[in-house]
Parts: sequence; structure tokens; C-alpha cells
Amino acid sequence: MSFSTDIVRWRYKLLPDHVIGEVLTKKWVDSAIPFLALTLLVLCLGPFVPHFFEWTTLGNLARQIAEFGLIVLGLAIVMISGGIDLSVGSVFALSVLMSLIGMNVEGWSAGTGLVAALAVGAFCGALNGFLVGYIRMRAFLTTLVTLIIFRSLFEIVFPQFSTAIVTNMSDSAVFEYLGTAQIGLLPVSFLITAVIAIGIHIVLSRTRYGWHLLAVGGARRSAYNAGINVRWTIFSAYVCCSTLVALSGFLFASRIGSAASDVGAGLELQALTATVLGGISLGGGRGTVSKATMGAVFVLLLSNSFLALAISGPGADLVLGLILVAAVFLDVRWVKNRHKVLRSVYISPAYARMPDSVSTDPRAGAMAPNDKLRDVGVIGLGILEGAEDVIFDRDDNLYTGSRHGDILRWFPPDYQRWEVLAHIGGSPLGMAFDRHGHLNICVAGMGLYQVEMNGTVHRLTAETNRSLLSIIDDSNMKLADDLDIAPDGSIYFSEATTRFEMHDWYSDALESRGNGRIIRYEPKTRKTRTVLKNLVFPNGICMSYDDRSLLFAESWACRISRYYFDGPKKGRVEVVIPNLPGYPDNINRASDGTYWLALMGMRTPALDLSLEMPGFRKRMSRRCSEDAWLMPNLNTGCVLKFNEQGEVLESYWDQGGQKHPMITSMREHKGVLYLCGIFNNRMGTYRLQGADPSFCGVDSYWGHRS
Amino acid sequence: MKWIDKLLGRREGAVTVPVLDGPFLPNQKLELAPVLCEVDEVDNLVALGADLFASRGSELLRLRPASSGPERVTGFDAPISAMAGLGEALAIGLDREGIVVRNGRFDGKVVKPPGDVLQCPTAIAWLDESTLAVCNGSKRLGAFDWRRALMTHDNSGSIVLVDLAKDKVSILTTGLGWPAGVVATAGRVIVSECLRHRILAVTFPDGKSLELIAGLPGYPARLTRSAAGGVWLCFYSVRNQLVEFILREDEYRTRMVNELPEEHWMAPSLRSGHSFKEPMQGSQLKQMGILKPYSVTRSYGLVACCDANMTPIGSFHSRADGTRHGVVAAVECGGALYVASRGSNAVLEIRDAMAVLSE
Repeated sequence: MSFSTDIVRWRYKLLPDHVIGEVLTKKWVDSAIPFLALTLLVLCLGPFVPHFFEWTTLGNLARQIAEFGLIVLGLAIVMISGGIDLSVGSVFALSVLMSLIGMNVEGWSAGTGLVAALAVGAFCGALNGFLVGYIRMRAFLTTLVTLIIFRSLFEIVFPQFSTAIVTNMSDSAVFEYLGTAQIGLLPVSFLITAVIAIGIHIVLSRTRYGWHLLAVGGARRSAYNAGINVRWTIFSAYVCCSTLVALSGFLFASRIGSAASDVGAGLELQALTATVLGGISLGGGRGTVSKATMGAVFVLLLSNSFLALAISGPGADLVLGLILVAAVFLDVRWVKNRHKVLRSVYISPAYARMPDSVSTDPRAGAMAPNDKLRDVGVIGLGILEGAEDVIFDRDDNLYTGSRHGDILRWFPPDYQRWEVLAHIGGSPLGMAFDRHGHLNICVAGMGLYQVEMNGTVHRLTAETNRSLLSIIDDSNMKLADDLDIAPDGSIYFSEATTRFEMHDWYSDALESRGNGRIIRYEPKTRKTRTVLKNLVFPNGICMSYDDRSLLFAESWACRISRYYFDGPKKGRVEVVIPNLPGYPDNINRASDGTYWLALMGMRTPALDLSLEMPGFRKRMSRRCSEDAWLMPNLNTGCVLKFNEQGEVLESYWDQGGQKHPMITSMREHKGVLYLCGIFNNRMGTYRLQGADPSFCGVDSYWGHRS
Repeated sequence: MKWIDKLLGRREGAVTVPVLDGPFLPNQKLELAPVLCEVDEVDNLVALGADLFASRGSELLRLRPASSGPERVTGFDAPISAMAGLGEALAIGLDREGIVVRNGRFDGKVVKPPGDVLQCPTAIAWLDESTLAVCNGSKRLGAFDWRRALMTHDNSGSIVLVDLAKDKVSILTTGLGWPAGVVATAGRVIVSECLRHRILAVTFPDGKSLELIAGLPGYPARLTRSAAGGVWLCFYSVRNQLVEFILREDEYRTRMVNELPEEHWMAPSLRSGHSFKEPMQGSQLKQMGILKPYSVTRSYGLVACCDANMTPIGSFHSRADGTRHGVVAAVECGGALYVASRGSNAVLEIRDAMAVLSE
């Protein structure tokens, strides 16, 4: 091996490319960009702006966040529901006016003043909500109009009270406490906002109402079709928004104690910049409290710094406007292209150098191709679709799964009659009978299931322990594949990959990385633990005859290994066949004390070569459509027999794959070999010469019927 | 700029493939055509009067319509790689051996210029009674190595004029990517440039070339005159996105060409599905026992009919799930179109081809 291939090998071994894609699948990635922007802003402004990190500045900032944060949160709620509220500035002004009239002029108690202020806000919000939600007017135009209306109201009323507001003071101690007091280092108003923010976060992320908001914003029509009251949801969003804005106005009034005629002017620009910058999508349906908060802090830091640097108001607005444009641009591009970025980054092929395979030369002996499987009997032609595995009970009934998610039972002797034993959903793959005669099944995308002979379905497990360092959540099961049951009843099953769903199996083949694992489920304690990790598409599993080890196949690595779960070698893994000429699938017991192995497809030199070039495969996955990708040749498979030592004894082929293109499993039962293919529309039967005519797999595991 | 294109997959770096549409809209007309006879490694169909000749390796065969099978006429020392007839004269190109003529005025004439001028004759056309235009596919490769030429970016092909009367050989134009078919018209020859997916018109004697069609969806090969005054255009295979991609991946391509047996290359082919070691692409996976006819494919059967201006007007297809792939020759004889399919080793007979085409 040359130096340059060594470099390639180590580069792909040491640099975990796949992590980037996995990080991008996380929902919190959306928040990472505003967070980075905020950090960058602090780092850039900190050294230049005077008193940036001083306590008084921060205390002041906390009060501002308390008021401005409430407005941004309110706007965020409306935007998540798919709308927009431009009237926040005017509503703010009205509620400040109401608070001051109540507290300063009329001398109300703080409670009455608060209720009055909130009532003003709620009324304004109800008007917006009614027009947008029920009358179904455009949110942008409607709130632009109400912006003007509410502002005009303010300007009509304010001059009549302005002198009274300035000359009087509130008698309420609570009102003053709200505006000036601190608990520890934090202002009271900040704590109030913090509590409200946490509350909104819980509502948005954990409650039915929050999900309705997100659903309406994300896809209004679908939300309607799902039975959500869209109009009410939108109406309520505007009411929530304006009420929060009114609360903010009340806090503002308590802090300042008076008002100028320009109170709240231009607030909508600041609030809008904050929400969009925080990453709350203008299209609706995407947004969190943390994003809104980050956006609010960003805008406040910026505008405070402008003040401290003595940059004029219009100049600051200009910068704010430019930032808003940039944020909107990023928002649009990000929402539109996120899945594309993910798709092109997620697949990250690994370096693999395949060993020279067992020869399939016509003179090679056991692995020489033949056409023994060309003329086989057929079961369920056109009825059976996607039978991955097959199994028999002691009464010769045949059980298999279908791609429709059914477990089918076919009746002897000719297997022409059938019934649906159970419907699981998902794609049933490997099957095994346990000691009690229950059928245990691996179901892709769902986990490990058990079907009793009366058709009752139980879920055994769908969750295992999460690995410490995995970024994607590997506690759930994406592709449980095949299983077998140890003498003590614990179930060992393979999960082929933790990175892809079943329909994306070819992406995992393209990666050829150890993405899979073997998991043990103990029925007694109902505990599920991962026992082996980093396996390359672990597929078939079969208990060895020694009762202390199991054989497992790693498809894309083209090898069979043995895992000791008991005895002196407990926990060790030994390779049994290192270099198969094809991709191994299920392993099952044969009647003569050996094993059957299905090769679902054959290795091709062109693909083997590409496995040494991860960069080539990565570019292929990005440039070419999936239809054109180089894939394992699964159109020709074969069945072979091997012994405990890993010697291949004989093989059965259908060259060209005319009847059985892709053989995923086979099961010997009473002298007949039954052949399955997950993409086939039939099951094949092949009469074995010299096989034990009474062999039944269940007896091989659990002894003869007593 | 080139590396930016490569990085972003634009312009030169794009791996898009023209779709089969318009005159190339897929059908099953080639797949369903009746078989005249089965000939292993069939190549080079030529009609001399009412007789139909073909080649099989180094043997010249006469195919008799409605008879039991091909009749061996004569044999040569090297594989026959090109043939053209005029009257009763037959010009035969031999792989790495030049040109020989049988019958007619120049019976027995051998043209074998030294060097690589005529070592790779892929197609021949008679310009007049004593002049031939010959496609020399490559300076380095044999006359059947078009896949290797493609995968090594060979562009050393040329058009050679052979004056049989004066024993003079002159090169008309060079730098072609595997010229694989030629027909003569007044004052110019029409040449198919296989590796660049286009048809050229080359005027003689000045050798100026003009692009007639570009961006063909396949690898154009032999050309023959049709009875209606147009041209039959055969295709080795259709283009494949993955092949286009690999052509831009130098490291993989070089290692593939150097390390793998040619029949297992990921490259277009005259036939496919004969060995489980052949590469498989995503859509070629059989589902419910069926290979989709519209799946991407390395081999395909395609003959197009062009009018006198080389504008394609219709085509016969054998699609990804078919067997009549790798059309290496087509000729009209006695009112029928005969097509040599290397993929199924058969000569197909399409009676009244123009009528079938317009069905």
C-alpha cells in the first residue's frame, strides 16, 4: 500500500466527517447561527464601546431586555403562527399612556392599572386578530393600518393628559417597586420577563396550544385538515402578542414614570429585526423563545452601543435596517436550502479496502456458479411482496412478512392458502420462534416485536441505551434487521444502521462505515443493551450450536464473525469468513449441523475500487442522482452452506437473477429450502438432496415437542 | 475557473445527460423486431446488390434472407473492423492491418501505409470508384477499443482519404474522438464523432469540419445511407450520468482502466447483465422481479433515422430491460432494414422500416 493511500486511509479514520451532517440534523442548529452572531457582536463591540461590561450597563441592559424582550416574544408568537404584527409600537404607546393615566393621573392601585393596560393591549390584539384571523385580511396590510390607527389614537389622547402625567406621581408603592427594585443583582422586571419567557417556552414546545401555533404557521391548510381551529389560533396569537406588548408598556411606565410623544415610535423595526435575526422564520412555523431572546439581546446591545458611541438615531436605524435585510436574506436562503445542505453533507463515505474474495471461478469448487435455483417451486407469486425472512412452526405452517407490514401465515401442505396473522406496520424482517412458541420479529423503523399464535402483537423493545458520544440519538432503532434467541431466552438482534432509514439502505452501502450494532434484549428484566457497536451493516444473526456464541454477517464488509456471549471467551469477536464474494444477509441453521447463508448480491470490481476512494463516492452522491449511483450488485444472489470453521461447502445460484434476483434469507424445513427476497414478488422452494426429511428449525433450538 | 466549475458542478463540471425525447422518444420497436439470423460477434452489415454481407471476427459472411443461416465467404488474418461496398467491389478494413479490396477494379488491392495512419479502421465510405474515406479511430488503440478510447479521453482519431488508383493516402482531418461512422455526400463526408456525441460534416480536400448535430443522447457509431435519401445512425449505447461523472474523475478512471478487467468497467457497453461482476447502478435493482425499462443503463439498442441534413426524425429502441443492445451496424437491403445487435448476437430484420418508424 502506497504512502498516499495511507494518508487517505488515516484521513478518513481520524476526521469524523459524518459528524457535520449529524450536527446539521439537530433542531438546535437553527439557533446556533444567531448565537454565533451574538457572540461575534459581543467580541467586536466589547473592546470599543465604553463601559460595555460594567455592572450599571448590564443592569440597565437587563431592564431594557425585560421590556423589549416581552415585545419580541409577542411578535415571535405571531410570526410563528404565520403572521406579522407591525402595530406593536403603537400598542406599546397606548398601553404606556393607559398605565400613566391610571397610575399618575387617576391614582389607581397597581393591580387596577395593570389590568387596564393589559385590557387596552388585549383589545388592540383582538382587533388585529379578528381582522387577520376571522376576516382573513392580509396580516401585513392590516397591522400597518392598525399601526396608524392606534398611533393616531395615542396622539389624540396624549396632549390632553400630558401635563397631568408629568406633574403627578403615582402613589402606588408596588408600581414604584416594579420600576426600580432589584432582587439580588437582577431587576424585578427582568425576573418577571424571565418567568414569562420560560412559560411561553413550555407552552410552545410542550403543549397542545403551542403545537397548534407551529402547525398553523408551518402549513395552514394541513393544520386545517388536521382539525385545528386555524382562525381561533391566529386570533389568539395576536391577542397574546398585544397583551405581552401591553405588559411591556406597563413595566416601561413604572420605570420612567412619564412619557414623551414619541414613545414606542420605530419599535416595530427593532422588534422585527430582533425576531428575524434570532432566526424566527418570516414564513411561519419555525421559532423558539431562545431565538427570540437572542435576537432581542443582539438588537439592544447594538442600539445601546450606538448610543454609547454617540452615533445618531437615523444612523443607528440605517444600520438596523441593513441588518434586517441581511437577516431576511439569510432566513430565506436557509429555510430554502437547509435540506439540500443536509443532503449533500450527511452522506460521508468511509475508507474501506476489500480483501480478495473467495474465488467464484467456474473451476473453483464450492463457490462455482451454477443455475440450481433457476427451476424452483414458487409460493405466493404476485401475492407475497417483500418477504425478507421465512420461518416454520412444528405444524409446518409457514410464516413470513410482507412490505405492507403484515405477518402472513401460509398453510401446508402446498402453501396456497394463507391468512394475515397480524398487522404490525413497518417492514417485518428477521423472525425467530422462542421457547414458548411466540414469533419474535425485527421490524424496520419500529424495533423488536412479538406475535403470539392468536395474532396478539406485543412490542418488546424499541429503545436501547444511548451511546455517550453519538450526536444523533442512537437510542431509538432505525433498522432492526435479524434476530436469534439464546438458550437462556435473551434475544440478540442486529440493527443494520443507526444513520439511515430502511429506504435509504443504499446510502449506508455508499458509506460502508461501521454504523450498525448488535443489541441484546432480556425478556426477564425487559432490559435492552447494545452489546457490539461499529459493525458494517450487521445483518443475519444465528446461534451457534455451541450455545455460547452467535454468528453474525456484516453485509458491506462481506464477512461473517462469531461473537461469544458466554463461556471463557465471553465478549470476544472472531472473524469466521473474512472475504465472501458477495454481501451476506441472513444466516440460518441447516439440518446437518452446518449453516445456510444468503448472499443478497455479489461484489463488483468497480464498486470495490470505489470503496478505496471515499472522496469519489462523496462527490458521486452529490453530483449524480440516486438512480445512477454505483451500488452493490444485488441482482444476482446465491445461497451457500458453511460449517463452524467457516469453510464454504456448497452454493446454489440463479445467475442473472431471473427468478431470485436478491436472496435475503432462506430456511430449511423438512428437506426443502425456502428462499426469500425483500424486493421479490414470490418465495422459492428447492428440494434438497439427502437432507434430513424431518428437520424443523424450532426443534433444533428448543428440542422436540414433549 | 475550471476548478470552480468542477467544485460546483457547472458547465464543464456538470454531469447532465440529454434525455431521450423528441425523435429519440423510447419505444420497443427494435426489441420486438424479428430475427433474421443469429451470428456470434456479428459486425459490419453491407448490401451488395441483393446480397447482404456481415462479418464475424475475421470471417466474411453472406447472410441470405429466409435461408437457414450465414454462409462463410472467406476469411482474413485479422478481425474485420469496417466494410463498404460499391457496385460489386467491397472495401474491407482489418484491425491493425489496413484496407483490402475484394472484387471490382481493384480486386486484391491491399492498402497498408506504415505507422498508425490506417491501423484502426472503424468505418469506410466510397467517395467515387477509386477513392475511399476511412475513419481511423485512434492512433494507439485497436479498432474495437472504443470503450478504452472513451475512458482514456483518446482524441487521436482521423479521417483518411485513400486513392486506390494512385496508391495515395492522405489525412483529411485529425484530432477526432473516435470517428466511428462515415457516409459520403457531394463534396463532403459526414462523420460521427463517437466520444463527443456529435456528427460532423468534413469537406474535402480542405478538411474543414462543420458540426451538424451536437449533444446526442448516445455514442453515435456507424452511418449508412437510407433508401429514402437520409442516413441511418447507429449508437453503441446511450450516455449515462455516472459515466459522465467518472470521465471527470481522473483518479478513479485511471485506476479502473489500469486495474480492472475491461468487461467489469463502469463504462458504456455493447451488452450488459452477463456477469454478476458487472457494476450495478441504483435504478437497475430489480423490484418485484422486474427491471424497469427506464432505468439507467450501460448498454442500449438505438438506431436513428436522419434526413439528408442529418436531422434525426425517428428511432428504434431496445430499452434497459431488453436484449437487442449494442447496435453496431444497420443497412437497408431489398426494402428492409437489417440491424446487427451485438448485445444479443443477432441480425434483426425490420420490413418497411419507414412505415414502422412512423407508427
